[in-house]
Amino acid sequence: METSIQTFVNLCQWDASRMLIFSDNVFGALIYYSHFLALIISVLVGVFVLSKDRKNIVNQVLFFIMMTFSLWVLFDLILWANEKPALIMFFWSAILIIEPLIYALCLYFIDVYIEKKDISVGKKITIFSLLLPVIVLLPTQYALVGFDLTNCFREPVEGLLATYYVYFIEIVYSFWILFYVIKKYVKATLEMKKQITLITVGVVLFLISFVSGNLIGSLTENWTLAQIGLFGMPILSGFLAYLIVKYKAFNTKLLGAQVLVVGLGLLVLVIAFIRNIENVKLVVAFTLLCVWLLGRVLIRSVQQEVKQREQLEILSEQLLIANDKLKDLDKLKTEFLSLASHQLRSPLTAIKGYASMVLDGDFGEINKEAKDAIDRVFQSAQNLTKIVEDFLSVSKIESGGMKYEMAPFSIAEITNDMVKDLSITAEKRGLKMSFTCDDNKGYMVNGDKEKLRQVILNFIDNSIKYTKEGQIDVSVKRESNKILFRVKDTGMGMTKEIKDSLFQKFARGDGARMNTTGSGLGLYLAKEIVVAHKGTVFIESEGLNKGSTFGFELDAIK
Amino acid sequence: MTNKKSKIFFVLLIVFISISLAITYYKYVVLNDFETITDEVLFNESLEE
Repeated sequence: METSIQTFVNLCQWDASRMLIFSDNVFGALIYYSHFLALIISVLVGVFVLSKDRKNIVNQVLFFIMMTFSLWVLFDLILWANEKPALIMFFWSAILIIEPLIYALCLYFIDVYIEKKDISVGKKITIFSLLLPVIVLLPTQYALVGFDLTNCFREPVEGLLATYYVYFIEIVYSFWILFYVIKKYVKATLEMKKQITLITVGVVLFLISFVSGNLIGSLTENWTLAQIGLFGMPILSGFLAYLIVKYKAFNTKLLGAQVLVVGLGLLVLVIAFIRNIENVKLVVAFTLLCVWLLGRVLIRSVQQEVKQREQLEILSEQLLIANDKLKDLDKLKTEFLSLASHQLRSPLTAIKGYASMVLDGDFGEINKEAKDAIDRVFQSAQNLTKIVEDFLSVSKIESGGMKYEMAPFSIAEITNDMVKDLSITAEKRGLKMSFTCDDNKGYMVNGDKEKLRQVILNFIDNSIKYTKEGQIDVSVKRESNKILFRVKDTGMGMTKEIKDSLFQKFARGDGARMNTTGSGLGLYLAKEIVVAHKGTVFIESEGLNKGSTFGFELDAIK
Repeated sequence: MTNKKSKIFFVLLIVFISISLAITYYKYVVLNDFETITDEVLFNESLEE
């Protein structure tokens, strides 16, 4: 057989190929141009799309299509250039499997693009099972009968599989795509209809031009003209680029513009692969068409960008004006709060003073019922005074008028005093209160004693208010150069959501149902004061009805 | 891909195609096991064309 083949090689004057793809056997003037253009663009589009979102199924499938297509282009070029029958038999066989595989992948791509998710394994098996006869029978004479030495065309004689079955499944896949797309188009929204139309036009054009190469070549025997089929690839790329820019498909956003520019550069570069100057007019016309299409997409995207930027600038100006108005309103609110609180404080002091005097018997003995009523008046006035004080403090903090008189003092000392004062209130509610601290350690901090006393009062008072039964443990610890204050209770606890928002202004959590007298400012104030001392506040709770721990951390004086 | 079953499916598909191609390569390129269809009359006509 070897002698016989060599005789034909000599008689037909086939050129020996270099690096599989370079030889004088490639007689068509546009063959290298069309193949290199398609090969480079398909690899670039595939890699670009995958690099933008590797986990996206749409990107993955498009990458596979591009890589499979580039393999097809490469093998086709080898078939053009090579003179060895054995290699031609192999690469021709490979193309027999790659061609229908591209159709199957296009169907898969359309499906995942429209559905925005992967299809079931069952559906995959249905789609790709049509390829099974080609895979199984590829090395047999059903695929290729033998190498044709009745002419110098360097072609094998195709078997039943290649002549009928491969074309049959390609037609099946094409109709499958059309029916699927029509079915989805009918039910789609207006925006989705546009996307379906564009992606379908892109894929169908690609497949038509892909198959038209073979058809034109077979029917006209003009294989140079058949190269027109390969130009379907840049057309598909153009549509994909349009989709990328217009709909931000494949999560690539406006980076698509970079691809468009690279694409334009490549269109010019591959002109170098034209072998015949007579074809320059045709290539320039094609390049001009691509430049016009890509340029139009680019200009439109830039116009859209400029329009969006102008709208953003207008919105930004409107936001600035609204923000200034809000600041003025906030300032007015703070001033009003401050004024109202000052006005409220004076009559409250009088109410508290007279109620206290009545309770102490300064106006003579009163009966028990009257005493209880006056005691309620006194307690309510005290609560109201605390709320007014909180409002005043908040307005001072917000207006930047809060002043801190810093001096060294012991946290343990003021905590101990506070626990002693509040133990009576706790006992009245049936709660046990304890205080733990190691006397041998220093608990000195540099801060405003009165403000921090207010913080400690807020924390312990909160625990008493929101604990129905059980115990409240107050502790002060020294951890290296930090002083840690904690109040742990067996109270109502809280969920994680409430925990995250409790230090915000007017946040009351579930406690609002249990205690209606709070203002929602105590913890906010505590946080603001501690932060002003360069410390941190914290809350710990394992959940609702599981108790909670409030506290803060401050720098210790060495 | 998105799930394990899908990955297995594509790995199997690629493996089957690769095996088929490997056998084809071995048969045609290594063993040179293929028919050559020759016809002297047709060939001479082809050369004349």
